[in-house]
Amino acid sequence: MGMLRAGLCPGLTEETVQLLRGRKIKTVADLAAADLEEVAQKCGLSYKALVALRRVLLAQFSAFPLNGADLYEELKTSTAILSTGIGSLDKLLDAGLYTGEVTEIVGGPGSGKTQVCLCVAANVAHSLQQNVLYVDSNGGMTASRLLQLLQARTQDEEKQASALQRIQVVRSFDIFQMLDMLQDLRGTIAQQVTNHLTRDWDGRRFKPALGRSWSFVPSTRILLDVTEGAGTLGSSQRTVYLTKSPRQPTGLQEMIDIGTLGTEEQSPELPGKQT
Amino acid sequence: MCSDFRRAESGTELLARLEGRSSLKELEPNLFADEDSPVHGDIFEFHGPEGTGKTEMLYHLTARCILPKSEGGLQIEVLFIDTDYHFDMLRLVTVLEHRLSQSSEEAMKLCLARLFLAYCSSSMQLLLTLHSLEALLCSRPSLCLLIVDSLSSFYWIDRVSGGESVALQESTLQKCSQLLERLVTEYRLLLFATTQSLMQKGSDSADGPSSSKHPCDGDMDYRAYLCKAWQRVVKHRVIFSRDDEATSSRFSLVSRHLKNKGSQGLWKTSLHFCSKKCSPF
Repeated sequence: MGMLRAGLCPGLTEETVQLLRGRKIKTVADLAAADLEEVAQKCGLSYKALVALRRVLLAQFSAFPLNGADLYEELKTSTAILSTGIGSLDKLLDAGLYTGEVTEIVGGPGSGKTQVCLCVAANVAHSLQQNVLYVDSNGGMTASRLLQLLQARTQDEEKQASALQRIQVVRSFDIFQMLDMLQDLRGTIAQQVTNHLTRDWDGRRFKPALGRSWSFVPSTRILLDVTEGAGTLGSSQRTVYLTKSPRQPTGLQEMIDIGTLGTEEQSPELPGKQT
Repeated sequence: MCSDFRRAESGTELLARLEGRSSLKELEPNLFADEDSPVHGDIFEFHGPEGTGKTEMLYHLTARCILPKSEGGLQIEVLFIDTDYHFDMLRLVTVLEHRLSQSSEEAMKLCLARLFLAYCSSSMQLLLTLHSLEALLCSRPSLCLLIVDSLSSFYWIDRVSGGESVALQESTLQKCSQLLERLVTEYRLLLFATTQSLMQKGSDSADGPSSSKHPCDGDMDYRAYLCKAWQRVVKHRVIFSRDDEATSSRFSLVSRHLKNKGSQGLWKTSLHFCSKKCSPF
């Protein structure tokens, strides 16, 4: 990004590009840092033209500072909080998934991450009537389970069908497919990702996989764990811990049952909330 | 372009410019020790692992700056450069609402009008944005605080695009650091930049290109991995950490004055973040 070439912006001719290259100015950054008076003298270009060129290029390639008040107005109309459909999970997430943020669900194998994702997808598609993009990278997504969750919410087959239509499933089994798909995404969305657990380097504690650099990305992280003392193997009781949140104190926990997700009583307040 | 602007400045404009960039001493008394309290031209680095409250601290500092003097603020303008798209306007609004005596829409809008936000998606864009700041700084004399959250977002991307040459990997960030120092000194700003603890301390085979063991950092969880130009420019470093217990909401800060050869300049404090203000334990 940023190599100077003819036509990059109005007023940048091939001749100018060559003259600048003679002064070792090859990129936009070089031009921005250069002493324009000196360049104008040595190159025989007009100082005013160079200043104008610099201004246009900077306007094109730098980030324009937005005013906080304008941004707030815009966010008020475009931000939404999407309920997950699971009352206790909503409590942990402070009403649900916030658009413009990444929420991470961490858990060991069989802890219920995919079940939670399917339940959220069903809720958003049916109760909130919003579109869902479900990216499956490990083959855990089954349409029949999704249908089951929808059938628990409504008997009306037409409503079930229209909810299913709002859910778009993309299967990407390598990182390049994933990147391709993400680059084409547009619009305001709330992102929910799942992650596995791995052990710390000294073998003592469990921690989310994918390392430190990833750990900075999600704003909210919840941990799913099999409830202690739940009794028989194959029990569907899970404990959800809030381990990172920008709004709530961490350490909150709730219990959910992944076998009956979505069939529990609906929470009394409205499922979606506009801020 | 800006030098023309400055030459044409009138006497009143000059006074407005100098007066606007006045005292930041009262910025956050709980956070900074007396001898370390921020003055113009200071560069602070907030360093720490994820979830330790660096961005949260920036919200509190921003709120303190943009609130009007009648509400206990400094009534100065702030430029927030966000490089990892983490800026949470709703959180900032919550913090402001708790500090305002009467939280009306008008009061909120007036406060937020003092905040400028720029999103950068690459280190090159960050560099060019810093170049284009001069016009903004000239025209807004009350803009005293510059925040970059965070400076290390592009570390891995730069390493990949720089290939094998360490100098090439670090060149953009090096230019950013030098430009930041120049802007901060010339326009008498205060800079807070956050960096993430990307490198593990202890036995780690991946060495950052410029990781050097400073003798004075041996006792802290700090591994230098950003370019030397940035290390030279930082005057104070505040290391954030938090108690390991899941139920604790206590955050710890250790602040070190780097340019002070004589005294140790170490300042430790514990904080509890609530919406009102940072209150020390």
